[in-house]
Formats: sequence, structure tokens, C-alpha cells
Amino acid sequence: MLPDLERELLRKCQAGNSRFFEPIVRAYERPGMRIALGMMGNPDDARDALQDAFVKTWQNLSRFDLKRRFAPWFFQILRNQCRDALRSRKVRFRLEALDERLEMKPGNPEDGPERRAERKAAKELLWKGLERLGEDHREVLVLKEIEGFRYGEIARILNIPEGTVASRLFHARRALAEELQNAGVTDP
Amino acid sequence: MNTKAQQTVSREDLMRFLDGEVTPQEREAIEGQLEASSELRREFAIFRSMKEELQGLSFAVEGDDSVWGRIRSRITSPVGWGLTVTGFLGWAAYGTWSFVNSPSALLVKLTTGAVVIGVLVLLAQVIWDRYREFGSDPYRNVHR
Repeated sequence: MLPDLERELLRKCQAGNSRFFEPIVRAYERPGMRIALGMMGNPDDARDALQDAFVKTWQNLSRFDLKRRFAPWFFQILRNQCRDALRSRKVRFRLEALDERLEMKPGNPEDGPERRAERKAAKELLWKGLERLGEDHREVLVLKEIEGFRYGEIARILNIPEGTVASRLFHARRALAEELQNAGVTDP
Repeated sequence: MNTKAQQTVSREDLMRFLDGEVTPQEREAIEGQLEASSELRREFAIFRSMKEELQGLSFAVEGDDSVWGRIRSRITSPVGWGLTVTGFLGWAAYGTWSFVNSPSALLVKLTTGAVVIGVLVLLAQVIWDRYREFGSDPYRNVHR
């Protein structure tokens, strides 16, 4: 969405007109769902967290500074919502992301069935490795690798200095490599 | 994973290099360090391979099932309830005032008042029971 258009829509939302919130929701629900899925591990809890995050965004919109970018602010709310859900509602990171309802990025179409099975097994190991990581490590990996945010954006979403993003990514990646080695992957 | 050779490249710089967040000068320096240290190359290869696999995990979110419908009802229903309750209270207050000051007989006022109060008490009882049931309902988060 164009920044000027987004700012104008948000200005109208701040005036209390909820119908202008719809394009905002539609623009952010897919990236939001991917982040929530990465953090919660299953579509049902992810969808609940996403809805709650949008409602909280609406309720706090009057405090949003229109000079700032909306995306990091919204994703910060979403991230906090996911963390709160994992804690207060006793929702555990529950791995259903390999469920058939979710599609992974397609591999090389020329791959044979054996290669595809190998890729699937490797991805299952990766998911299981992610499941065993702590929240701090999992969320920074999701934001970087699955959603492709740059360090500055991740820093704003997680409310940490940019240098800490690099440091946290290092520890997260090393922890994941160790998890994969423990799972029997010799060279992750 | 740590050796003397790779300590010349900090963990943070290695990550920024891996993620393409370094300046051309920094890139050149880190590439030099990578050429000089096989251990650093090995560690970097592990991180790069894992990064590629993780990026392959991105998944398509299914269908066009937007969450907007539920969000709209959640953000507009408080407005609807607010208006309904405010309107009802205003209407009830005016009705009561008009009725009390009307020329009807006292008996008519008392019996009508008893009926209205009785209905309100029963309504409040039903609402309270439903509220208590909702608190202990194990299926309240199940959507159809």
C-alpha cells in the first residue's frame, strides 16, 4: 500500500470511521498471519492472535503518530499479542504448520519423488528445531527469514537496538544449528 | 565454533554480512577474513545453508478467508451497544417520569410499576445466569 494512501486511511480511522480500517486489515493480514503462524505454530491460535492484534490496533489508533511508519507499530502489537497468548492463555507453541492446510514454498518442479521426500523431511526437522527454540530466538528468525524484514525494521518491532538484532540472530541461528545437530543432522 | 581467526570478524558483523546489511568496505574486509580462515568459512557455510532452508519454509496462507468480518463486528459492536443502552435509559427515564406525573389512579401506577420491575428483575436474572455459564463454558472459543 502506498504510504500516503495508508496515512490518509489511518487519519480517517483516527477520526473514528471504521470502514477505512478494512483496507488496512486486508493489506496487513497476510504478512501478519505468516508472522503469527511462525510464532504460534498453528493456524487457529495464529488467527486468534491476529484478530486480537487488529482490535488492539484499532483501540490504540488515536495514540499512533502518523509521521511514523505503521507496519513496525502494527507488527510490534502483533508480536506482543502472540507472546501474551503463549503465556496467559497457556497456549503452547503447537506445531501444526506442517499441516496440509499450509503450503510450503514449492521446490524445483523437476525434483523426483525421492528428492521431494528428502526436502519435506529436512523441513520437518527445521520446524521441530524452531519449536524447541526460546521465544526470543524463534521470533527474530521468523521476522528475518520468513518475513524478510531488515534489521532496522526488526529493531523497531522488537523494540531493541539494531546491534542487538544481529547478536540475537547469531545466537538464534547457533541454537538452531545445535538443535539440528542434536536431531542427527550432521551438516545443517 | 569459535577460533582465533574468526574472532577478527565479530558475530554481529558475520550476521550482517550473511543478511546483506554491510557496506561495500565491510563486505570486502569480511570476504578477506573468510578467505583466510577455513574454520570461519565452514561456520559461515552452515549459517548460509540454514538461512536458505529457513527461507524455504515460508508458507502461503490459505484461501481468501479474511479476518475483517470478525474484526468489524468486534470494533463496531461497542458503538452499537453504547447507543442502544444510552437510548434505552433515556427512553425509560422519560417514560417513568411521564407515567409518574400522569393523571392515572395510584393503583394503576403501582400495579404497572410492579409488572415493569418484575420483568426487569427476571431479565437481569437471565443475563446473570448466562454470564456465569459463559465463564465456565469449555466451548466458548469454538467457532462454527
